[in-house]
Amino acid sequence: MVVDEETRALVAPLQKLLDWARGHSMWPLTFGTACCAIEMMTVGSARYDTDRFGIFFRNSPRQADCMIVAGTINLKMAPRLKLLYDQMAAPKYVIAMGSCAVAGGPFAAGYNVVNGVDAIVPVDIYLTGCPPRPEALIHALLTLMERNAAGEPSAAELHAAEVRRAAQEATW
Amino acid sequence: MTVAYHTDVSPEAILAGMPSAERPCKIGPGRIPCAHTTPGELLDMLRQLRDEHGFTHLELLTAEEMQTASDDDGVGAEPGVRMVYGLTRRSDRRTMVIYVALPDGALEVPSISSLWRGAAPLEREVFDLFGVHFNGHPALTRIVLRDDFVGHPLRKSFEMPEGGVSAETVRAAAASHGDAHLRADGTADPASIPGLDPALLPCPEPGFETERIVVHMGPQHPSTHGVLHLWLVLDGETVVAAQPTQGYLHRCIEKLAESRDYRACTALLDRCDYVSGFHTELAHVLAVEELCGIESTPKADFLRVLFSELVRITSHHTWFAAAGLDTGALTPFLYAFIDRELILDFFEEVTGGRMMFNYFRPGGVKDDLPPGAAARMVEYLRTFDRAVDEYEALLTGNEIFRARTRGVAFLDRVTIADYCVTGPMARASGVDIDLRRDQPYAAYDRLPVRVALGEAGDTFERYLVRIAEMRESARLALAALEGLPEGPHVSDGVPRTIKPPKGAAYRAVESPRGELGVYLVSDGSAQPWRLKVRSPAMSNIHAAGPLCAGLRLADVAPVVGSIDIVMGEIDR
Ligand code: SF4
Repeated sequence: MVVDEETRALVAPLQKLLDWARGHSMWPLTFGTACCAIEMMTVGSARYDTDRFGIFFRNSPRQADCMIVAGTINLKMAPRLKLLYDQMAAPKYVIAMGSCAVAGGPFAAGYNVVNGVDAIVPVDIYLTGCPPRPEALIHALLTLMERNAAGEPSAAELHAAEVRRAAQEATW
Repeated sequence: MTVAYHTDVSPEAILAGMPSAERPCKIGPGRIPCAHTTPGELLDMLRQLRDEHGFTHLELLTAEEMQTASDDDGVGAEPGVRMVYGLTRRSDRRTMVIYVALPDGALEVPSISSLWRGAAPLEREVFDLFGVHFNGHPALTRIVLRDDFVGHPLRKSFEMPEGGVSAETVRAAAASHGDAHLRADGTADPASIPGLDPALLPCPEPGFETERIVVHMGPQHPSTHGVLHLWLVLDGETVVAAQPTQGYLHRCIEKLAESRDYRACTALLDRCDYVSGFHTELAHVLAVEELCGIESTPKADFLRVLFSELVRITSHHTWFAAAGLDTGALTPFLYAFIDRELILDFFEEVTGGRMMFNYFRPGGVKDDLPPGAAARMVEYLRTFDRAVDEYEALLTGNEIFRARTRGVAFLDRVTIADYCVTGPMARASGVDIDLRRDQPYAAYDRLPVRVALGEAGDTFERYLVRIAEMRESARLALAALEGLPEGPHVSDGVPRTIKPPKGAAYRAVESPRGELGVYLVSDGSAQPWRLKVRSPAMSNIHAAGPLCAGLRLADVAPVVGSIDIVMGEIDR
C-alpha cells in the first residue's frame, strides 16, 4: 500500500503488520455475471477449497477487499459494476476473470459488450481463459496476496497517483 | 373444462381450410407447415388456432429480416421484417408457423399478449432488437438493451461499431444508468415500470401508517442466480407484485452468429446456456442437419444422449446447490459440487473443456470416447443413486427446508399455458410434457425415457421433480453407454464449408430448463441469415410475477431458485 509522507511516519511500525495481514486474507466480492461465475463458485467448493488460503467470498461490497469480475459486462451492467466498486472500502483490488472481463472475449465485436472492464475500474490482475480453470483463479488470488504481502501498491492507488500527477502537471 | 380437439386434422389441412392463411407452405425440408397472414387477421387466426384446434403452446415468437433477394418460397421482395409465430399442439406435438410480413415503414402488428401473457416479454424483445411496434401491448419498452440505446441491432441495416464498443462509449455508459424507470438519483419511478400496475402502489387502507415501497432485487444479488433484476412492490414483508427485468447479460449472440459459419456458431451457443452447453449445441446441430439433409451416425446419436444427460445432471447439481443456499444451507453446495467435478472430469477428458465443449458437430460428434472412458463412466453412474440419496438426506426430510418450500408458490396449469412454461417447472405441476419422449431426437427413441412427473406444483414439488430427474438422467446415460453401437462417430461426406440451401428449420431439445429450440434461417450462404434461440428460462422467469405475488420477501429467493434460470440463455 502507498501512503503519503505524513501518514507513512505515523503508520510505519504498523505497515508491516498490515501488509502481512493483507497477504494472508482476501475477501472477494462475488461479482459473477456469466459463465465465469460458475467457475468462481467452483473455487469455493470442496475440491478447490479457497478457505484454506484465507479467501472467503462476501456478498456485500462493504465487507470485501477485492472484486472478482467474473463474466461478461455489458453496457447495461456497466453502471452497476461501477456502483459496487465505489461502495467497496479502500484498499481495494480488482481481478478481471476471463477473457470477457479482460477484453470482451468471444463477444468483443458485439454492439453491447464492454471490451475490458479496465475502462471502468482499475484492474490489478488480468486472468485470461474462457473460462479460466479454478486453479487459475486460485493462482490469481494468491498472486494478489503475495503482492500485498510485499507491500506493492494496488492498481487503484497507482491510478490515483497518476491522476494526482496529471493534475499537478496541469497546474505547472 | 375439457375440449375435444380434432387431432386427426393435420395442421396442413387446418391451414388449407383457413381463409386468412395465405400461401400455405412448409419450412425446413417439409417438416413444419406454415402460412402467411396479415396483421389485421393475425389475432383472430391465432385465437382460432388456440381455441378451436388445440394449438395452445406458443413455442416461438420472433422476427427475421426479410430476404429480399429470395423469391423461391414466395417471400415478399419488399425490404422489411417478418414476424414468426410458432404454435404447438400438445396432443400430437405438431408445430406450425405463421408468418406476418411487415414492410419497412409499416412495422406494426397487433400484440398477442391478450392471448398469451407470456408473449409480452417476447414482443418487447422483438421491439428492442427489430423495432417492430406491437399495438395494444401493455408496456412496450426495451427489454434487453439500455433505454438510451440507439438503433435496433438485429436489423441488417444496423451498423456494428467498428472494433466493438469503444472505451469512451463504455465510460459514458458507466456514468449513467440509462434506465427509463430510474430517477437520476437511482431510485425507482414506480409508475413507469413495465408490467407493474401503478394502482398497486398507494396503500389501500387510508389512515393506516404503512407505505408500499418498490425494491430492486438484483441485478447483482447473491440469490438471484445470475444478473436477474426483479422489481418488487412490498407492503411490509409481503410482496404485492413482482416484475422481472432482464438484459444485464445480453451479449449479442444472435447477431454475432450471423457473421460466423455454421460450425463456429456452436462455440457461441455453448456460452448461451453455459450450465448445460450440450443442449444448445444439440438444438443448433439438429437444425443444421435438418437444413442440409445430413444424417448423424448411430454412435453419435448415443453419444449425444449420453452427454446431454450427463450435463443435465451437472446443471441440476448447480440448481441443487443454489436450492440449499437460498434456504440457508451450505452443505448441499459442497456435496453437489463434489459430484459435479467428477462429471466435469469426464467432459474434460472427452471434449477438452469443463464447460465450453464445442463437441457436437453436424453429422456427429467431434471425437470418439478415449479408451477406458466408457468403462469409468459406467462405473461412476452405477453408484450415482447413492450420491442422490445423500443429497436427499440433506434436504428432502429437512424440517427447515420443508417449511420454507412446501405449500409455497403454487404454479397452476392456467399460468403455465399463459406464460408458455416448460420443463421441470411445468412437470412439477402435473403437465406431462417432455420432448425426449414426445418428439424424440438423437437416440431417445431407442432408449427407455421415463418422465419424472409431479402434481402439487409448489416449490417443494419442483425440488422433488428435479431430484427424480437426476436419477433418471443417470439411468438414461447408463443405458446410452451400455447400448453404445459400434461404428464411426461422425458421418462421412459432411462438407468442409456448410452451405445449407435456402430455407428455415426449427428444432427443439429438452434442456434442464425446458424446451430449448433453435430457429435457423439460411440464405444459402455459409453464415446463418438468422439464428434464434428459443429460451425456456425466459418464458419461465416471467411467470415469476404471478408466482411471487403474495409471498414474503424472504421466500422470493427460494422461489426464483426453483425456476432455475440461466441468464446467459435468457438474454443471449
Ligand atoms: S470469458 Fe468465456 S466463460 Fe468467461 S464469461 Fe466470457 S464467455 Fe463466459
